[in-house]
Amino acid sequence: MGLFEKKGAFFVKMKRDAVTGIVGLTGSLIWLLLIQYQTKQPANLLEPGPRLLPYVSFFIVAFSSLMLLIKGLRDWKKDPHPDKPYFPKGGILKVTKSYAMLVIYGIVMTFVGFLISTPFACFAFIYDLKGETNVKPLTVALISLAVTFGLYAMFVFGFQVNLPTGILFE
Amino acid sequence: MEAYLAALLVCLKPINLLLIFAMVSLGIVFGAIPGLSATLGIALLLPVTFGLSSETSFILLLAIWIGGVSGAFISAVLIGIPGSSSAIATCFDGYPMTQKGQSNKALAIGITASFLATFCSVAIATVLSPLIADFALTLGPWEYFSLCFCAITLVASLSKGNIWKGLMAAGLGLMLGCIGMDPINGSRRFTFGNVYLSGGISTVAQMLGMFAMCQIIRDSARGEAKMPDVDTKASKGFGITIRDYIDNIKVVLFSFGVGLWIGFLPGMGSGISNMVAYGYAKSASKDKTPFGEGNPSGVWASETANNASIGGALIPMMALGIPGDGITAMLISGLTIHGLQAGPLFMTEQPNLAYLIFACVLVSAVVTFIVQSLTKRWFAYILKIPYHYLYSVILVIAYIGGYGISNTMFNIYVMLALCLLSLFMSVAGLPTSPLVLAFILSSKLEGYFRRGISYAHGSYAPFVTRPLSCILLLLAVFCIIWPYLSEYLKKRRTATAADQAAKKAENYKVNDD
Repeated sequence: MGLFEKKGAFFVKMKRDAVTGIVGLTGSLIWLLLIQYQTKQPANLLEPGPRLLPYVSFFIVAFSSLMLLIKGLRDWKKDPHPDKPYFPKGGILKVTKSYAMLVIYGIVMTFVGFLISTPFACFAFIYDLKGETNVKPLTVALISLAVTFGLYAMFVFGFQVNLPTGILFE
Repeated sequence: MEAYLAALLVCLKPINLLLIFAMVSLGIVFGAIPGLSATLGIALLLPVTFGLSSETSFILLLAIWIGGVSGAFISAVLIGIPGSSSAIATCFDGYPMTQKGQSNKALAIGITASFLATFCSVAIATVLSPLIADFALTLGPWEYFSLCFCAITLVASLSKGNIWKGLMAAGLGLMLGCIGMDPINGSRRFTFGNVYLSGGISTVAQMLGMFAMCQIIRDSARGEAKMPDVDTKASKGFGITIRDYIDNIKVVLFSFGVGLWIGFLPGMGSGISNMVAYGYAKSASKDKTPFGEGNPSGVWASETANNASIGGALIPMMALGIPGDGITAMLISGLTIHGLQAGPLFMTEQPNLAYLIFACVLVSAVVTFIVQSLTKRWFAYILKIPYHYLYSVILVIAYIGGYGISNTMFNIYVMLALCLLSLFMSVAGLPTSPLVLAFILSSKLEGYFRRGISYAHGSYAPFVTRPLSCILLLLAVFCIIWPYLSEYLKKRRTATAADQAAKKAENYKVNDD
């Protein structure tokens, strides 16, 4: 735990460009491995074949990550203070919570469909996004229902777009 | 001419006019609210067009685009926050005009400048695009590859921050473009045995995940989803006279030229043109009212330039199939959804639909002018819409859009994954435009390159021996090395100046002695 904390603090103190470079280099190495397993190069081709673009994209991401890492380390040497945080205090927790909400909505919609999941999701989204604004639960509930049925009518009857019915009700 | 008139008549059908009116109004709302934009409006509207005819789809998409770009000046004038990057320079003088009690005049300038610039630039695009398309038909895969390559490097090199961030974003776009079948052999890449990935990542899912979802949760977490109070007092009269226009004609004409040219170049859309035009107007001004303190010329310059970019961006999109910015990239995706391919062949094989695009932009510009002129007094109320309700509805629409792409939940998960990628990019300061452009152009880039080598029997030489291809490749290389070259030259110049100053100081010292 102590070691993890130390490592975490190290990354926080690093310049953002350097961290981006490290993440980019790691990602591009994973991509390089995937090229070997997820693409097949036919024999006797007159042209470079399907592995060309994956290799080019690997090279671009890896090289630019390396340059960002070098730049970040140089900047760090000049000014050892960490960059200003991208999110304000509590922002990371808020963005994680909001993202988790989006994922949960997707999963619930898969099982129970649009009509059942959306009023709850809409209610949760409004409460999540309201910030310090005061809202009444009854108003939010009514708006959530109105949004759900309004959008359902507009897309299903108006634009002929199907909406998920849910695995449980298929 | 016949095809153009036929297209114009299609746009003027009552039902289409009604659609244009509705979408332009929605576009103005999207453009006016900071955080929302025409890009987001188009991303949300793309899934709706699946079940509609090509004509209706394009009328919807183009009308929301024109309304959105034009509406960006509203918040810039009323609260000093630009609706999008295209109206940044409008804030500099538009908001001080509001503070001086001249909001009616500033809004009227915005409405008039937007209309005239859009109208004239689209008229020019309508004339020029077929000529460029005819020329483009004589080009081979070598020139097309170099053109796509040049477009990506230009966008990457112009990215805010530094070029490596732009290149990294472009590389990520190419990686996403690799997923699915390759454009020549049809062999599967990075599909992990998943049948849904065989067709590649959906552009609509990408746009919804990266623009709608990411933007909403990011703005909320950063506390940017708040709006300052806005004055809702009604205003009387239109606000400007023809005399005001004539007094600023020099600024308007120059800004129009700047906007048209910058819109034509890939990656340099209205976000840059308004700043360049404003800079010129400021340096050339001899007015009593200084710029930045409510000079109307500043609003004329900015609003003319950003709307002139619309016509400029249409030229490469229609004539060459190369998107100039994120919005035109989405419009090209809209064409692809309906089985159409933008480019020179589209202009010759589908003239009715091609001219419909030009005609619709023209009609949308007129409708936008009418709607904005009639509703100017209520603009302030748009900025009073509570964010939490609006954003929640947008999130739900994004899910509907994601599902509608293939009637499966798969694209919703793709959207969520791309939202995460976009969040990482935002934190890292990586720009989105190079990723979008590289993703859209990846299959063309690869296809033209490999086809070029096949046609030349395995030789790479035609890429550099064909003059136009060679020029474009040199331009691409120049775009990458220019930031470093300019920095080096600047350092050298500073060092030389310092040397000369030191020598002079030494000479004075010797003379004194």
